[in-house]
Amino acid sequence: MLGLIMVASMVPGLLIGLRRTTAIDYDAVAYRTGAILTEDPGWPVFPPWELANTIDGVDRFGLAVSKDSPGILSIAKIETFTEKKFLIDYPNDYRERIIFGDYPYRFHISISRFNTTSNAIESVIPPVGDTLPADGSYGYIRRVVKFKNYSYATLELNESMKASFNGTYLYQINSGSETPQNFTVRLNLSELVSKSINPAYHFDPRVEPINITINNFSATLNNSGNSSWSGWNKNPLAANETQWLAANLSAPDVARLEKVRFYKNENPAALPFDYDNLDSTKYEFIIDNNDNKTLSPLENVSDEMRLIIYPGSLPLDESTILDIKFTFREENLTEPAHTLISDRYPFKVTYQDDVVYRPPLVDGWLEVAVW
Amino acid sequence: MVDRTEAQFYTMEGIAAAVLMVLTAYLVLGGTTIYTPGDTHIIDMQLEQVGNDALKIMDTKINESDTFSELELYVRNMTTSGGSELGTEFKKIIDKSSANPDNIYFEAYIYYVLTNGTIKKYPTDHPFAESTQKFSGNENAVRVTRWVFVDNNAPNVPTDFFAAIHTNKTVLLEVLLWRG
Repeated sequence: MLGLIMVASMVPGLLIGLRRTTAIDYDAVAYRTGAILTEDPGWPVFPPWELANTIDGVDRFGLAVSKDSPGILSIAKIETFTEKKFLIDYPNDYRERIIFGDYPYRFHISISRFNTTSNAIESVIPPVGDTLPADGSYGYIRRVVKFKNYSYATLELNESMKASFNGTYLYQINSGSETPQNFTVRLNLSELVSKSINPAYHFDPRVEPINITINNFSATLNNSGNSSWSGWNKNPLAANETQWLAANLSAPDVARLEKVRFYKNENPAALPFDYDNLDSTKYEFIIDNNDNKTLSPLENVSDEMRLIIYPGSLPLDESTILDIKFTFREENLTEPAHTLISDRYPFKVTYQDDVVYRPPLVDGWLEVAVW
Repeated sequence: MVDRTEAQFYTMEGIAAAVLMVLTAYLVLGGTTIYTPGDTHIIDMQLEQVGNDALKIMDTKINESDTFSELELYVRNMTTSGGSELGTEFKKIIDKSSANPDNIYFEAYIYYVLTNGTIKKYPTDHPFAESTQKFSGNENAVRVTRWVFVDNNAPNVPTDFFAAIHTNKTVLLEVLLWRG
């Protein structure tokens, strides 16, 4: 009887555990989610998850540029964070890859930055997730971050890049212009993504578009604009030399680009790539402000070429040397070469001399709400 | 007269069994867990995270070619414009929205060490940088700190900063943050 009374008095202690808990700690979940997004680059790192074709290629979302630069977010990752290819089973797929845990949390993630021109806060991408509950009953964390935007390279050509500089110009021999004029742009990835530079300041062709603009092409043309050069009206001519004037041709103002090819690690064979057809998911090639050119354009260039190669199109790793070779050849093989550009001066895309423009890091905020 | 002792044994056995049951039941039921509401420290942690993030972001160079980060520039010029510039920039970062500013306020001090080991606070009589609302002592403040590098050519530092040995130094920037 005594025993029964004592046991009966302990029964309420059983029920304490069953009373509904005051709250799941949403703030802690939000903090963890915020930390994963801002400090982790996601998984897999290489090949990067943002280049995966479906959500199955993503094990974990993360927006940081790399593990060595927490708090610096990559615009490439932010923009692919909500791409259609990942939204098949939204929000479950997202929940499994950012928030983790079995409880069906609802979330709201917003990324914003300060726009110095309009002096206002703007969203980088539309917010991800459900609308915030109006009563404020959600866990929240705000992280301050910096954004790393895409870099691009600009090559200014000038007269010193003409072959045979110093006034003696290369003349085309009469039997035809079998000798094409080549010009190579070299990207040495081991320099560009060298570990001696913080990844926040890298131009990484493996994850961001290779955006190269070649300017001032007219400076390399085989003409003499300047009378002191006496270029194309050279006198006397050797037996096998043609001259613009003698052949009654006018000095050229364009040169014909025959093809653009990619070479890896100085391999003499070009990389396999669909050079002859347009593929706007892989590259864009613009000649003199006319777009939709293929990489075997057979077009005349007078001033500017712009090539954008999207990440994932070429097989690159951290020690690749990528050469992009532009070949100029005229249709009429008996004409002198229109451009004197030459591979004596292969152009290196490096950080020196500001060939690669790396935009400044921009302040921003990442906010996570979980409920 | 009952000469047998079995009945007494039965009773003792019975009492012992009861005590055993009660003890077991007590041990089993005493193991329930009690849930308590979330600690207030989580609110402090959000504040601390914002403060640490803001200092870290200000200490990140904007371009790789920059010589100093913004925070290092402010501290190099601590006797002139560094304080007010630090205040403006810090407020901009922790507020996020200038139209609808968050109610986070702060106060910053710099601590440096002299060669004889004395720790000096700069400035001595007022905060290095502060928000419009001043610290009254009643608020629950969190403290975030960051070590900032000062090179030996820093132009605007107190007179005793480089006394005796003119080398690069590291100072401690301490910021108190609270919600108003």
